[in-house]
Amino acid sequence: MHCEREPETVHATRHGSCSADLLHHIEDCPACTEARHIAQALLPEAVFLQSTVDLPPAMQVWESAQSKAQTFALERTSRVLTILKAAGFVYAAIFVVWSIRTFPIVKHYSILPAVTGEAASTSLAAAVIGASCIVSGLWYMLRKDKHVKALSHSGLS
Amino acid sequence: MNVAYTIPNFAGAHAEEDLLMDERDFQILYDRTARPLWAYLIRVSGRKDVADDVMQETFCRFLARKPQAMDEQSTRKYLFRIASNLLNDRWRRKEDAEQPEIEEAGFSRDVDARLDVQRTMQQLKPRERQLLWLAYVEEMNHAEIAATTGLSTLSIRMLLFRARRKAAGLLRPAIMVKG
Repeated sequence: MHCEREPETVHATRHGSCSADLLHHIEDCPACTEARHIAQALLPEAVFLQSTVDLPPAMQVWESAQSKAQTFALERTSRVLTILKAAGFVYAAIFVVWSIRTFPIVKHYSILPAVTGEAASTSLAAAVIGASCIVSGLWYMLRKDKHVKALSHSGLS
Repeated sequence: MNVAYTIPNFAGAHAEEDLLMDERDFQILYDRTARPLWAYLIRVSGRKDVADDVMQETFCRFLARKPQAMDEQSTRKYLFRIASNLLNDRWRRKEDAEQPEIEEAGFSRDVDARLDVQRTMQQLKPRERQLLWLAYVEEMNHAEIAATTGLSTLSIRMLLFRARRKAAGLLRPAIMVKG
């Protein structure tokens, strides 16, 4: 099935240096005989292919690799920004729903029994400021996205 | 400048630094490994377009993966491994379903012998072609072939034996005639 001296046979066939001992073994070993036949057929084919191939220049491959690396890096960071945008939208939506429900109540009562009217107002003010920052950031990012899309459609980017 | 622009630009600018070697090192590596790699790909896939694509992609992935410093032999094996994985992906997606074409033998010294080899390779399965090439041209042992192809050493032993028998049966008449 398999002979331990097969690699040795292939190596000797490649380098054309077969010892008498190995030659004697190959004659008696069907696995090594087949291995030698196949190596004798494939090795000249490999040499021919390697000598005739017209490869692209190394620098072309290098530049392509660089541009791909940049694309991967951009995709990676764009993914983080997309997550941030989505989180911003979720926050904005939750804030809107919450504030609609809370504003009428907070005028007269505390939101939670432990939170006094004054503390509730401060919390609300902080939430409003936070929401304003997030929404303005989102709005700015969306405007920029629109601008980039318009540029790419016009072929300028 | 806003965050949305700054982060991707920063990433883009540093992507070059992510590549593991400089242009000169790459040139040397490419000169030493591209030809044997392309010969492997063309004979296993049987298609020039596939060989060109996979070879280019192999070097791109090699540069992007930032492997640790390796000697030439290990680098060569690593490239063959990436290329084999890419071929496996294509076979899985059945992108290379077409039969390999028998190309023109050109003006080689032994046109008949080349055509025999091409016909034999055409009659073998891609996996058989792959194993035979790695074993008998690249002189890889079973463990190395297993690492390159992602198969177990035991499977390699069995598959290579079958491929060898089949190829020998297909090549034998031509070899016998040649004496």
